[in-house]
Amino acid sequence: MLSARQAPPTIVPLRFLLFGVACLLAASVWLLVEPGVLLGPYVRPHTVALAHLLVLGCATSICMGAMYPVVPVALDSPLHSVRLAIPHTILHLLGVIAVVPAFYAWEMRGVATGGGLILTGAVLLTYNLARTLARTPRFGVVAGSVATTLAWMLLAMALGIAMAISKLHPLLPGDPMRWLHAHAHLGVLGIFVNLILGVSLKLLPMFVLADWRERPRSWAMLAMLNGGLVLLASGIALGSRALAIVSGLLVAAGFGIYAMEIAAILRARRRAALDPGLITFLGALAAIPPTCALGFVAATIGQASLAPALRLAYAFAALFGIVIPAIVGMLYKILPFLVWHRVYGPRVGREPVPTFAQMVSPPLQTATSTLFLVALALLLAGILDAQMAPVAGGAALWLLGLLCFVGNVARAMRHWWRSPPPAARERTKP
Amino acid sequence: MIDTSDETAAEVIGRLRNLIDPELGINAVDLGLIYDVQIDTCARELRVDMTLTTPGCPLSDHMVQGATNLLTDIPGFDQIDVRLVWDPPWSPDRMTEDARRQINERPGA
Ligand code: HEM
Repeated sequence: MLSARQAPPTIVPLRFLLFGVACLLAASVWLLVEPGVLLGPYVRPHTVALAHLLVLGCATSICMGAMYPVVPVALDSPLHSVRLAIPHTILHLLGVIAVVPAFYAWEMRGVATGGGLILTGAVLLTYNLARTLARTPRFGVVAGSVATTLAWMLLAMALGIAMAISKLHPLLPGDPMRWLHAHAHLGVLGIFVNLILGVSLKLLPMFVLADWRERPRSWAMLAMLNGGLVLLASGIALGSRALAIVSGLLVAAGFGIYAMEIAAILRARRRAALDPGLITFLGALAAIPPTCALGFVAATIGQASLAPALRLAYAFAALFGIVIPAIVGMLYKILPFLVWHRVYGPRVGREPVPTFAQMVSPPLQTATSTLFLVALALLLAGILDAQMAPVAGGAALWLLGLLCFVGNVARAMRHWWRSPPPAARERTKP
Repeated sequence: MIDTSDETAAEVIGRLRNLIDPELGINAVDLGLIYDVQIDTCARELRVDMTLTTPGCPLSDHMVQGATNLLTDIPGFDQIDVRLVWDPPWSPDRMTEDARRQINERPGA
C-alpha cells in the first residue's frame, strides 16, 4: 500500500509544473507580440522555437512533473527513486532553456546539445518509472499507457536530435519534411494524447465517483492508438500516404473506443455536477474528433493552395485545442492536491483545513475556459484565412484566459508560502 | 453500520465527522470510510478501522494521522490505533443519505 512517505516530496513535481506554466505564459505573450508566427509556412525558426517552448517547455515538463505523483497513485506502487528526480529536473530545465533560443537563432548545434540534455533527463525518468512499473501489483491499461508514453517520448526526442544533426551532416535519408511530420505525430500523439487517455481512465472515475473497471475494449483502445501510431509514423516517414491514412483511421478508431469508455464513466458517475476543471478537461477531449478530421483533410488535400494553412491549423488545434486545455484542466486537480499535501496534510485533525476546491476560484476557471474557446475559434479562423486581425485578437483573448489561469495557480500557491507546516515551524523554534 | 449506542463509540463517530475528504469535501463518517470502532476499556485501547476512497491514495498517512489527532484526547484510553483497511474496498454505495445529498447524487446512477 502506498503511503505519503513513499510518494515523492511535493517539490519534485511542483518544479516541473511551475516551469511548465511559466513557459506557457511566455509562449502566449510571444504569440501576442508576434502573431505572424501562425501565418504562412510553419517551418520557420520563430514558429519552430515557439512550438518547442510549448511542447517541450510547457507540455512535456508538465506531463513529466505530473507523472511523479500520479503514476504511483495510478499504479498503486511507490516511486522507485526520489533522488533520480533531481538530476532529471536539472537536465530538463537546462535543456529547454538551451533548445528554444537555439531554434530561434536556427543554431542546430545548440538544438542537438539542448536536446541531448532533455533526452538524458528523459532516460532517467524512464528508468525510474520502469522500476516503479515493475513493482505494480497488476499491469493494467494505465500501466500500459505509461510504458508506451515513455517509449514514444524517447523515440520522438531521439528523432528530433537526429533531425537537428541532419541539418549539419547528412544522417536521415529522404525528405526532411517527412521526418518532421513523423516526429511531431510521435510527440503529440505518443506522449501527450497517449498519457492523457490512459491516466484519465484512472483519475476521472475517482473524481466523479464512478465505478469503472478495465475490460478487453480498454486494451483494444491502447493497442489501436499505439499500433496505429507505429504504422502512422512509418507511413509518414516512408512517404506512403495510403498507409498514413489507413493507420490514421486505426488511431481514430482507438479514440472512438476511448469516447465509449468516457461516456460509460460519465453515465455511471454519482457526482451530478462536474467542476470547471473537469469541464475544461472534457472540452479538450471533445476537440479530438474535429482535430482528427482536420488532419485527414490536411493529409488528403495534397498540394492545394490551402494545404500549408490547413497543416498549420491542424498542428495548432492539436496543441491549443487538445493538449494545453487537457493539461490546464488536470492542473486544477493536481496543483491544489500537491500544495494541500504539503501544507495542510500535517494539520488534519488539529485545525480546519480547506478542501482542494476551496483553493482555487471557480469564476476564474470558467473565465479561462470561455476565453480559451473564443480565442481558439478566432485563431483557427485567422490561420485558415491567413488574416492577421483575427490571429492577433485571438492571441489577446488567449493570453487573457491564461492570465485567469495563472491567477488560479497563484491562489493555490499562496497557501504554500503563507502556511509552513507545523513541523517546519517547530524546527525554527529556538 | 457502526453501533453508536455506546457513549464512547458515539463520541468517536462524532469526532470523526471532522475528518473531511479534501477532494469531495465530505466527512469520513458520511462517506462510509469508517468500517469499525473497537473499544477495549480493560486494555484502555481504542481501535478504528477505516478506508479511503482510492487504494494507493498518497494522502493516506495524513488521513490516518488526522483521525488519530481527533481521537487522542478522548479520556480513558492510553492507546489509539487507527488502521487502514482495503477489504472490502470502498464503493459509493457506502455513503449516507447526507453525503449523497452533498454530492447531489445523480438519480439512477
Ligand atoms: C529532444 C527534444 C527535441 C528536439 C531536439 C527536436 C527537434 C526538432 C527539429 C530539429 C525540428 C525542425 C525540423 C525541420 O525544420 O526540419 C522539430 C520540429 C517539430 N517538433 Fe521537435 N524536437 C524535440 C522534441 C519534440 C517534442 C517532445 C515534440 C512534441 C510534440 C516536438 C514537436 C515538434 C513539432 C510539432 C515540430 C514542427 C514545428 C513547426 O514546424 O513549427 N518536438 N523538432
